[in-house]
Amino acid sequence: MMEKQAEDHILIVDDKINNIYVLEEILRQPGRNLISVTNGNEALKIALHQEIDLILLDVQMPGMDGFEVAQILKSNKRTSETPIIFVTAELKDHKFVMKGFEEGAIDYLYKPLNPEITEAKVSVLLQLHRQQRELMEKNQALENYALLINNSADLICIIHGSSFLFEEVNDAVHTLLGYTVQEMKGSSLLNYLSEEGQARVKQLAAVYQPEFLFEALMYTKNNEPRFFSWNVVHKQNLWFAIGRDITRQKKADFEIKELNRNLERNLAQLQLTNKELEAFSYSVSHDLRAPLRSINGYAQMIQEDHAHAFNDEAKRMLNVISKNAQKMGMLIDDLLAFSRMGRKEITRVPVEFNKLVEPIITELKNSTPHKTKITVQALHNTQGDPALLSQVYMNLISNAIKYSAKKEAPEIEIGAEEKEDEIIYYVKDNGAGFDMQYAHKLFGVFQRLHSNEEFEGTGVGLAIVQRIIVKHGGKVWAEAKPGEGAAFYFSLPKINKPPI
Amino acid sequence: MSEHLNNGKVDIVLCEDNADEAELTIRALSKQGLANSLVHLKDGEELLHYLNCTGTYTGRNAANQPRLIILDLKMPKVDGLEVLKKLKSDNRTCMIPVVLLTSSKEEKDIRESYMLGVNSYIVKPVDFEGYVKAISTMGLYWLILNQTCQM
Repeated sequence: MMEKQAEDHILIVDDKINNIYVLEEILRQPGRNLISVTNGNEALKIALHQEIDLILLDVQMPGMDGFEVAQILKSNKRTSETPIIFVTAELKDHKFVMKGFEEGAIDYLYKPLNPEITEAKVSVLLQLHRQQRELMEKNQALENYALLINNSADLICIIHGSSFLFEEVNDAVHTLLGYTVQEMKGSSLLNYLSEEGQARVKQLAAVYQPEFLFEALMYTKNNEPRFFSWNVVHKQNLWFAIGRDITRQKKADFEIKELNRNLERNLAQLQLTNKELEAFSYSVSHDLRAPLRSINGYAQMIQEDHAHAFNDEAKRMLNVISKNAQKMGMLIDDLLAFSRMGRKEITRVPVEFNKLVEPIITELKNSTPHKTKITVQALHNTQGDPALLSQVYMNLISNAIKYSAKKEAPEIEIGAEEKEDEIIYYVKDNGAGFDMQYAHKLFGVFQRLHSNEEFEGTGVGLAIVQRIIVKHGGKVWAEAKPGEGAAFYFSLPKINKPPI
Repeated sequence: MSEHLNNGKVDIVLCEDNADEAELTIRALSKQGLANSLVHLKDGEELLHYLNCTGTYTGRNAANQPRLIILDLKMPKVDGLEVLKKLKSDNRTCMIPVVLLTSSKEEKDIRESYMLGVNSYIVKPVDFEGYVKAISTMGLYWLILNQTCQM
């Protein structure tokens, strides 16, 4: 309800119209709203439903008399503070009546009414009532502030700027530090701070700043350490301060830092291991190949220079030596290729898979003559390293060709399937297949499920496939039946779209 | 031998620490008749002494520099890359063609060699036939086909 320059509402209750008229004449002036009724019921109806600042109540009325009306008004919360002036012809009930209404603002006027006295009493009571209302409103506001301050999870306080004594402190201190408000008041902030914190506070107080922030370690009543972040407004040598317990945050920060440190340590270790591996593969490449070349070369030299001294069996054996040396050379090359793959950084660019696969099929057609029918479905696109993914298809397709070569009508199907957040690519053949109980061995280095006599190979191709796909954040797996064919699958994550 | 080392005309200096490998290389070159005036040195340090006519090669005629140096990458004492760096930055030796003959396919080695000015980089094939073919082709190219700069 908006108040426009506080109009006073005065309720006049009298069973005689003439009396009402007299009162209205005496009291009428700007800023006053006079409401007149002729019985107690009407009076109650109005008083209980609208704001009334003063009631002039005739005592002798038929039906409900003035005292009865007053009693009801005083017992109602809304009207209990409304001042009442009884208008009466006699003094006789005066003493008795007074007792009942001692607390409220109560006064008496005696008929016949004296205009000056009437006006004087009315204006005094109105003023009193107005002041009381303002006071109540202020009190309410203060109470709200107190609620606000005391229900804060943060410490809110006023600290003396040079003695550091707490002048005011809110209830939060109990939850945060374990002390009561009474214990805190008058004590020094320094008592609760770590040595470092004390030094910080003294340093901050030495130079005037209108506002400042600081963090400090504080101790609870149980001597438990707590980290506080303080926000201070400095006015007239008083600190209006808010302290927030940031212990949990600090702990989390520390843990994150610790995790980061661990991560860095692991990374350094990894880098070292990678370096060692590099050195290892380097020496493998150089040192292991040289003796092989000599074995090979000298076997050849014997055949060239001393063939006449050897029979066929001896020559066959020399051949075995050469063949094995060459085989080992291949193993070393493949192993090196595998280790190089592990060290390679992958790039991620959008890849058009059909365009990627096409030249591989052409290349395989030219390099390995075969009669295999190769069908390529429309392949979904995603991002990856084109060179490495080419290597994957190269290995999978050449495997499929190799293992289906002995079939009447070898067939290979290359396809893809889109899932919720990944794409699954596959290469299926109708070749030799394998027993699923050995499937777990497929992707290991130098692991083979077929003898060299059946199908040639070193057992590195699929290990390389797995390495490349895992580096892309995907998986590889296979399904097969002996004699009926095999299907090799790999999944790649879909292109990540930023959330916004 | 020493007489020949110090004063004779030299076509090829083969710098290789592994004697077996050296024998294979020399045999391959011999098949093309390219090993008649070949000097085999055991490591990079010896090669530097040889080229600079220092150490045991003091007194060697510095005018008789080889027409081709075949260099292994991994050698004791001074390795191939170090030798390469030294002789390519020395005015007296920078014009001599240097071929790296090595087992290493490492990209790092290849890149570094070319940065230092190697004239050719050949990865030794494991099989002997391939090896003989590679060495023969290389020898014919550098000694017969290629025109070198007379110092």
